[in-house]
Parts: sequence; C-alpha cells; structure tokens
Amino acid sequence: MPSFKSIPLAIALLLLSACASHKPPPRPGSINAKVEQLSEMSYLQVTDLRALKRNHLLTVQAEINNPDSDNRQLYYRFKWMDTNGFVVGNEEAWKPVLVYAYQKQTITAVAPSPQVTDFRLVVQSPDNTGQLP
Amino acid sequence: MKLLRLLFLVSLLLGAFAAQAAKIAVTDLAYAERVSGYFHLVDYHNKSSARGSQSDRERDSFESSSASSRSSYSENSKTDYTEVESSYSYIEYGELRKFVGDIKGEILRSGDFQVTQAKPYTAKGSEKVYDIISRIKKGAYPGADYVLFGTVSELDFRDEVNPIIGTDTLSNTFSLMLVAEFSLINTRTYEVKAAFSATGEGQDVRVVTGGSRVVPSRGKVVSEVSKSLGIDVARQISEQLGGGSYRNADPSTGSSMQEGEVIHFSQ
Repeated sequence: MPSFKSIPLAIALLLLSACASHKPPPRPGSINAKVEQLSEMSYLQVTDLRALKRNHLLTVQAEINNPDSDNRQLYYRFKWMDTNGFVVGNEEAWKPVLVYAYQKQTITAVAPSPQVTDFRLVVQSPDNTGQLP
Repeated sequence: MKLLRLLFLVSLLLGAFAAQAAKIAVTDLAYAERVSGYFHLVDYHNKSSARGSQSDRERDSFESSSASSRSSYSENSKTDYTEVESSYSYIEYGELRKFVGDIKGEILRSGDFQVTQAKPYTAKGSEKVYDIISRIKKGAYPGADYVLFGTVSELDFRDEVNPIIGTDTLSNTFSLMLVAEFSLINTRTYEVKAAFSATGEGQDVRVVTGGSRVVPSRGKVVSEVSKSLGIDVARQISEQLGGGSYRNADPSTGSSMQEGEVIHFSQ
C-alpha cells in the first residue's frame, strides 16, 4: 500500500526533472539564439554580438569576455545559412583563440557568399562543463 | 420598388464589369541620350623617286690611253599632309525595348487591370517620342483605357571591387540601377491618375581572391533589375490608386537585411 502513496510523488518528481532538463528556447534576436555552445562554457562568455551587411556580404562581430584570472582557450567557427535555412558552403575549420585573463577579445568573420542571410557562432572550450547549455 | 432594386443591381453589375474591364497599355521606356563623339583625321601622302646613272669609258692603245666617267643623280619628293579634328554631339531619342515585361506581369498579378499591347514607337531621332497625347490620338494603344507611360531617368552600370576587411579576398560587385518616371494617363480625358518614379536594381556579387578573374553575369543583373522595377511599379500604382492591396508574394532579393544596416543582438 505504501507504494501507491508514493506514485503521485514520483510523478511530481518526474515532472520536475523534465522541467529542469528542458530549458525554454532562446529568445529570437538574442545572443543565445545565434550562439551554439558545445556544452556550457565555464568561464568564457559571448557578451556582444552584432551583424552588418557590407558590400552585400554579411559581416559578424562577436565579443568574448574572460572574467577569470587565468587565460582561457576558445575554439570557434561560423555556420552560414541562406534565407531558407540551408547551410551555405563547406564546414569551416575550428579557429583557436586564447583569451587572456580579464580580457575582452573581439572576433570578426565575413560570410563566404552574398546568399548568406543568417549565421550561427559555434563555440567550445576545453574548460566546458560537459553539461548542456 | 422591385424595379428600382433591379436597376440598382444592374448598375452595380455594370460598374463591376467596367472596373474589371479597365485596360492598361504599358509603353516601352522612352529615353533621350546625348551622344558625343570626337574625331581626329590625319591624311599623309608621301611620294618620292630617285634616279641615278653612271657610265665609264676607258680607251687604251699603244700611243695613248684615255678614260672618262660620267654620273648623274636626281631625286624628287612630294608630301601632302592634312589634319582635321572636331567633336560632334547630338541627342538620340528612342524607346528601350527592355525592362517592361515584368511591369506587365506584376500589373496582371495585382488584378486591378487588364493589359493590352501597345504599338512600338519606331520613328527615329525625334523628340515626338515624348508626345504621348499625339501617340494616343494616333491610336498607338488600341483598346486601352489607360497608358502607363515611362521614361528613363537614369541607367547606371557599376563595376566595383572592394577588399573584404579581415580577409585576403575581394568582393567584386557588378550592379545596374535603373530609375524611370511613370505616368498613368487616361486615354480619353488625358487625366494623370498616378505619377511616380520607380527604381530597378540588380547586382552580381562574387567573392574573389587576388589574381583570379571573374566575369559578371549581365543576364542575371538585367533580370533582377526588370523584376524589381516591375514590383516597384505595381506597388506604387496600387498605392496611388488608393487600393494599396498589392503584395509581392515572392521578393526576388529574399534578404531582409539592408546594406549598411547593423543588427545588434541582445543578451
């Protein structure tokens, strides 16, 4: 009989755990909607992101902040997409950047084609938490 | 009462029919262009002749010997040189047989008008191409209630190469911009129902690395210009005639971002 009493509790726990593991989707127009982290970064943060169309090519600038007292390694690459959401061009190589302690590092990239209208900044760091962002 | 209602319905139907039957003819885009030229003509003729002769005579015997020699040389030369230079300039009038196909297409899509075919203007070198009333009177637009008369204001080709900042590549942009003025004229009253200037723009952008050479696609650029001009014309006609119902379902450019516009993503 005690097992029946524990069923609602188990359901409630299951629901809670489900809520905890599913974060709401990022707000459109926010940095999180444009940045893909391969597991959450412990120290580095993308603090500023802006895009500009120059000479018909999308130009993106991102600011990476390291609020920690140690130098931190970052690897990044861009994913370029057209209006239909299809990826344009081949997959880029990972680019390494060393962000010094308390430094704000700016990275810029230019789209490979004028068809590009959207992008994702994919970032990873050896100091990632290993958990989903 | 019933008769009145019937008459009212008939008049409504007739009105609807008349509204549906509004026919529009789209002229080719008239243009005037100043043609200037310069010529420099040099005419040079040179005729020369030279003639020479020489004779030697020698005589030798037991008692005496003698020798004589004679030579002559004459040369004649004649040169004619003419140099003329001048510049000339004239205004060429005509109609551009391009860019109106998509205007007709977009007007048809809007559903406000039926499109009839206009007779092309074929007379050469005359300012009469702008005399639209005379052309209407001469019957150049058979069956049309309205004539959309367009004139070219500016046609501008640009070929630019710009370095892409932060890379060793260049952006090669070949673009064409066409600005034309339009008047929508009633063929019976000559009332101008709408007047505006419309723009058509097209470009072919290639990313090149140093040393490589690209040939821009002029066809793609002209096609884009024609499409965007058609969309702009249909939109402005719709706006000025009060409907404003025109919606372009398929924008050709597809890009929501404008050149030079900065998007700042929030935290």
